[in-house]
Amino acid sequence: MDSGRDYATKAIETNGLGKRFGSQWAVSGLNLEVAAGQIYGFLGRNGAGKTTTIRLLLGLLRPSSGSVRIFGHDVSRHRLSAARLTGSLMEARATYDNLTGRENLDSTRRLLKLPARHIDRVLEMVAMSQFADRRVGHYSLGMRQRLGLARALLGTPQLLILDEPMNGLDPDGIRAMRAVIRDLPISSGVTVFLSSHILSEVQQTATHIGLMHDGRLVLQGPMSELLQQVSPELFIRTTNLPLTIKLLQASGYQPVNDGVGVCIKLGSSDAEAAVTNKKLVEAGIDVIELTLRQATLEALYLQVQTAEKQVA
Amino acid sequence: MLTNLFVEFRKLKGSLVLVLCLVAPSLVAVLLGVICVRQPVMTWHDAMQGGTGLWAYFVMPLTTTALGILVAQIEHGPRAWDHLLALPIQRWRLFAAKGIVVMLLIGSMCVLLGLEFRLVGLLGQELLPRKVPTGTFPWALQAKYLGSMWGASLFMAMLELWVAWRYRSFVPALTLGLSGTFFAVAAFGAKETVYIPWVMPVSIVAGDPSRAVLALRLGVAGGMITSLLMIWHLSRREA
Repeated sequence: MDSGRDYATKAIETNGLGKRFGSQWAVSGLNLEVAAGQIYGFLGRNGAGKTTTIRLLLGLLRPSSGSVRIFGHDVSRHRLSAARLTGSLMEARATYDNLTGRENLDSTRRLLKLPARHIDRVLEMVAMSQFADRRVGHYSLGMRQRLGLARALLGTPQLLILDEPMNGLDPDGIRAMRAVIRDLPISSGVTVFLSSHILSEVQQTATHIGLMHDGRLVLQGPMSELLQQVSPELFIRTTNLPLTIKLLQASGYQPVNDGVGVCIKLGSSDAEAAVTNKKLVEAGIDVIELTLRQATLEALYLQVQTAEKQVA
Repeated sequence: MLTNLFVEFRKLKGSLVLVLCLVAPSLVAVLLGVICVRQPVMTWHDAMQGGTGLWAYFVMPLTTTALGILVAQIEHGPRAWDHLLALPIQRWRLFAAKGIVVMLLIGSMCVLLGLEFRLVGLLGQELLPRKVPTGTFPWALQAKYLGSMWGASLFMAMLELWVAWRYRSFVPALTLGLSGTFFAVAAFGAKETVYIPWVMPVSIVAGDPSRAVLALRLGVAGGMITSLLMIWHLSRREA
């Protein structure tokens, strides 16, 4: 495996990966598969094992079971080979406040033995060139995140591992970060693995997702395919809510009343919305609002979490 | 390794580490000046012995404690270890470079102290010529004392650095440093205390020359062995 990215090799592959702290398994039986060129959103609530997994991927923790391969390199045995292909952003504050942005990048550049021109390249990528000579202590959180991303991009990594890159960013910062991340596979052929709590952001950014629950990977696959598992919802607001609920129940739905209107889950066909509307009108109910809500990552997330809780 | 050293030295720019390295020896030099003014006229030999003894007795151990904590907090504070240890570089190089930087900073403080002693003498000649220690300024003796103290302090410095890096909180390192200094101050007179790392620097100016030689050997050897163990341990442990 030389310079070019090997599409036949997975960017990340874990087999039965587990990490135990004392008697507690933080992560167990993890089989991640991230193909080259993907933007993989890694989801899960706090304590689900996301950060532990990321630390295992970066070789910061040793697995208690299983293995991690980065572009085919076993991280436990050949950490340096794997690390040469990987850039990471773990913590936005992990910069030296007393140095300028450029000096921070230059420190990492020197350790990686890269030519000086790489600094300007990554600064441009994250739109930070004009702030590069300012002390990092004066940076906003968003600027620190972008500097962290620039640092992760030094050395033209083939895989970028980002832990909560949107954390603490304002809307403009989120938009800018999203644009950079979405562009990376296209412009630089970089595979991106990112964890985030902001599901709407992951939905807009990722091509594939993996969902962690209690240290286990409970869902993994292409975003578009997984979202098909979630039924769209129909929100209905009428002049007679009690009668609407009765009618919907009689039609076999389980309406959820939020005080303003009711929400029902539709089957696979959107045409159900039109049929339901017709039924309501025929029953003499005035329909004020009828909104079809498409499947969201949040709905998928909640569906899986609920299913997992029921299993537990 | 030169690159690693450059990077580590640059991290000190504008940091409290440099302030500490400047202030700590200066305090001792100022105190020596005050002692010279208040005491009957001494010889330079006695003044040098007193000044370097003051440095090695408790200022150096306390400064070394603070230095280890401040250097470690450069990475602990912003949680920069993860970034550093995930880089495709051999981890031992990072820790070795940091250890060398700390050793060189302690050495620099000793050099600065020596220069400031001379400055105190020159200022005294201008302001209070009758209070200036008699005889010629003993450059060789001063170099011998301060150089030996530097060597003898390496064991103590590496122990403190190890603890400061191992724990994210500064409390364990501070506790170790204060305890060591307390032992050094309280039990200095006892013969066996030469084996305590915090007593080794001040043993250089002890009346018994064999004790000074032993302290220097123990300090250098202990410092080298401790630094190797520290690098091995920290490079292997999970971040």
